[in-house]
Amino acid sequence: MDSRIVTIGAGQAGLTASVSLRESGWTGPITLVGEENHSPYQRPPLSKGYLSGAEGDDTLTLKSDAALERADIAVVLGKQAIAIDRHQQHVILEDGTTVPYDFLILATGSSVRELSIPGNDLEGIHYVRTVGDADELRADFELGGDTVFIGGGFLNLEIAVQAQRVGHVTIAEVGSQILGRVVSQETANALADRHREQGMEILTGVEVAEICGEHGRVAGITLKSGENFPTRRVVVSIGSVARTNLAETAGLEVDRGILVDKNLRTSDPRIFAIGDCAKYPNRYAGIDMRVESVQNAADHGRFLATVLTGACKDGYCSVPWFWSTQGDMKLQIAGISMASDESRIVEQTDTGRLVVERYREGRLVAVETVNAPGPHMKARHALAAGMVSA
Amino acid sequence: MPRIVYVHPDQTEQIVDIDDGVSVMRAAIVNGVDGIVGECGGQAMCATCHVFVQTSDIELPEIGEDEEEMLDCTAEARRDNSRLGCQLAGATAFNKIVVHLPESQV
Repeated sequence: MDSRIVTIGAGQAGLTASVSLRESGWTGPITLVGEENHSPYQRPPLSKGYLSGAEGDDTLTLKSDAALERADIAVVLGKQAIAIDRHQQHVILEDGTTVPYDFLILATGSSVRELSIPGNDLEGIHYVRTVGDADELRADFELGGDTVFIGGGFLNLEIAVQAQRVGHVTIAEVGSQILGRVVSQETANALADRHREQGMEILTGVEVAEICGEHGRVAGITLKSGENFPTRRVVVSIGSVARTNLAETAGLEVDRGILVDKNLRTSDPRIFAIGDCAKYPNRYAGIDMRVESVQNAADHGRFLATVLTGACKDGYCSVPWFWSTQGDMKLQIAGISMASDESRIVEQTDTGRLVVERYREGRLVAVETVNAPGPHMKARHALAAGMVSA
Repeated sequence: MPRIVYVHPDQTEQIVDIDDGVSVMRAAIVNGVDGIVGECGGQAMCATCHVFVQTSDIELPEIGEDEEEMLDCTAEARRDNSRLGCQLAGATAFNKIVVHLPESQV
């Protein structure tokens, strides 16, 4: 309880771990290192209220400077960690300073998967990951005009709703449905129908071959089929990649994620990994996997505090849940499903309420809801209870 | 400047002064008031910012549909004065409010 803890990554996971440790009575030094020059902030508003301008920078704050100071958490911002010396037990930052640790927490998150097609270096192509990215897109929206989105996942659909306020929106999704890897066809169709009603153009099963430019700036996209769509800008969200460099060069076990056990410990007993970057045994999915969500990041952070303080009885087992606000639709998912899981619609109304249960071999594995927060909460309780009795 | 008084289960109080528009949930999180989780960022989707309102100097807004559903799913049982902190914003719902925090949120 009095040894030194250093966390690399000041996002939701890293911040929650640091704060939870202090709240759990940890008395030793706690240091939080973030590479962005911004106090720890939450990312969900970046594709919603912050992007639209309805909410300001203060809505991003995860903890005030005063609260962090009161908790005696040393925050080092604007410095990237470039190496871990596991023998000396310290982290080396880009400016050459070293930060000694007894326990190290890696919360390095994930980075965007980049397009590799002709024209991918034109001006007017956006990836939204950081507050700086959101600022740039918001400024670009002020110029008006149409937007093409490459990828039909959560993030792009949320941003697309904002883009519709300044021009026409086209979604180009390579799979056969939007949100292909995360929800059932039934839920995807309900969401797509509603978006189309609001004027969004959603193309599925299409591949973008090229981004065309004029004077160095995006002017349109061309599909493999040859069809061309003029546009002022392109927003890309085609998945993410775990940031594992630091772990990998330090010789930790890595496989498209930093490998950890059920207590989120890496192959070095003094080093842990949490949040987006951690590949851990997920009890609900039954496999080792990475999960990218606020819930996963925050629950990992809280759970790790119990591991380090010795309060932990069993491995990590929080029910995974996700949400996405897209215009007037609030999508929530409890559990983790696979494309092959059976779908049963248990509620669907004209007002846009939807509840879809997913089953694998007769067992409930996930529940998808739209504008139905009550059934979502019940599903989380049911899934958690199912895990206990299993 | 609106003021929030948080009363912990052990009856200790924490007072936070906020800007207009900041919610009971956000103010607690940002200022390090234990006992409010607020995981969904204030969209009435997670029921982890449950509070019991003791007094407010102005009439609270009506409970919305989503809030109504979530209040039935809170970790500590709902009471007559249960609200979600994310739905109570300074200057519109209150200028001064006293809320009691439940034993648990998750």
